[in-house]
Amino acid sequence: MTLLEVKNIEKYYAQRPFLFKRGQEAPVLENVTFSLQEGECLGIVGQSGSGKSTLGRIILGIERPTNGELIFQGVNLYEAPSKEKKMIRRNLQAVFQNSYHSFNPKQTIFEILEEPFLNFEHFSKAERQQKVRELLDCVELEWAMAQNYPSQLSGGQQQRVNIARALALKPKLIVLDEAISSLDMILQKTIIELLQRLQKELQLAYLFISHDLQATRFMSDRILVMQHGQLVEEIGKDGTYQHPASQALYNAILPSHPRERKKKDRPN
Amino acid sequence: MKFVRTKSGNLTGLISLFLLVITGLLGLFAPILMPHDPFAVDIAKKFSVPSWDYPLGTDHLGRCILSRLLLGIRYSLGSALIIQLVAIVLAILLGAFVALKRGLIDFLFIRLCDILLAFPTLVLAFGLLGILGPSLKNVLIALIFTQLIYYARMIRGLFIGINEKDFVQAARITGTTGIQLIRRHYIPNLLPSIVTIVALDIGKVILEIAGFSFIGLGVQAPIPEWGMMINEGKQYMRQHPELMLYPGLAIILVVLLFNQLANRLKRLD
Repeated sequence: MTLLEVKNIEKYYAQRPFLFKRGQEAPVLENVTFSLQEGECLGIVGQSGSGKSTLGRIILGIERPTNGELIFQGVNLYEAPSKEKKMIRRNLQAVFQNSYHSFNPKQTIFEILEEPFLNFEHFSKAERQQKVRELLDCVELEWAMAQNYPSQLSGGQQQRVNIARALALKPKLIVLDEAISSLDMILQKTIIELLQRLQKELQLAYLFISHDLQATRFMSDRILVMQHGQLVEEIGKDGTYQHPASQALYNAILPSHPRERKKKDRPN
Repeated sequence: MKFVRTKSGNLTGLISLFLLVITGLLGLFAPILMPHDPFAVDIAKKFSVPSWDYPLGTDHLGRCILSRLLLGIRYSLGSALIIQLVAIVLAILLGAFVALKRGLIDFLFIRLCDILLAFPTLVLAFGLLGILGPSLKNVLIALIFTQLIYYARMIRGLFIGINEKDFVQAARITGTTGIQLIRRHYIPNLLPSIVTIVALDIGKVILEIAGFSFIGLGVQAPIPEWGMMINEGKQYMRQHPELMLYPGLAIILVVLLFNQLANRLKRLD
């Protein structure tokens, strides 16, 4: 079943407005259309500045597109009344790249994780504690950690808390915007395994936004390649790369050993 | 408490805080501590020298200067605190509102602030007092207004700065909106800067209140506001300079203490 439909999304940023005159408008996204099935992991790759993060932000509702439609669970998010929109948006959560900055430094881990419940449920304090305990369990963290502040956690632990927060409301779709890019290789692997386990257990769909083709290939069922704000290619899990932009990303993957480097890349 | 812990190595700040708390308590309990009625006129005893009965002597109407100074804490320090408190609370409400709304309201608000801030604060307050007429209440209104413009604009800026932070967007995605967003995320992160700025300006406000009273636009006699006491004493400046000296010293001391405290707070940030 189709979970999310993105139809002809366009986004322009006004450049250097002067007094009352609007400046020239620069296109960031042009005519982006795709759909995402329930339980699917869709990868979006592209170089920096290709508009993939903006796309993520539009889907999350942080920004509004200049044109286009966003249909989530069969509801047009730009036409729904705001109350209904809020209920639908709870099925749409996110994990950002910079895990530390996505926490309020004045809140403890417990306060961070109970916030979604305070917003949507009428739980007692004991129930919230139980829920937070379950969430921490889910991402393999200790309950004792709940009284710590984000700055006292390591990068991997922070990203786990981030994932736990995204899971709190039992969403249908999680947007992972460069969610593992700032972690080291070993941590990336454990987090990917965690994400894949959760996907199976909770029937989650992921929108995996990354510049790292290798990790994306590992995670995703399908991959969309973006360049200059446009979708240029769709590749299956083991498909081949036709478009120059995809090939550039593919060639940027380092081989596991220098001897496997292609001859032409070798310095003379 | 983190505040106390980081301050412990910091003697000047602690001493200022301590002395200010004492001053505040003196003002609070002035009616009990005052040796005489500060309004009781006794011409026979005018200009008496300091004695056990009148520790700082009496003024031109034979009123006890110490009692007047003690009660004056309420008018000088008390009004300044009220002004700052009311101004900052209103400013947070107003600044938060326009910062979260943006759009036309925000644009108009900023232009209006720019126009009002183009006048020096004192001139603006003078104008307002001229229209409202001199009285303690009107001094409060005028100074709250001028402080409010300044603070609201500043708080709008702080809020917009935090608006762009990742954690606010993360909170929005988890469904936090409106008042909850402000209470959980904006205020805790902005409070240190707000407290510093408010403390830094208290000294300025005390001086402004005293200044207004001195030139006759503020508190009226016989209320023992410190600026008013200087005003009353200035006729006898040559024969009895102490009438101006005591309230003058009191003003200098309190303003200095507040500036010291604010300076230390600023470095904590």
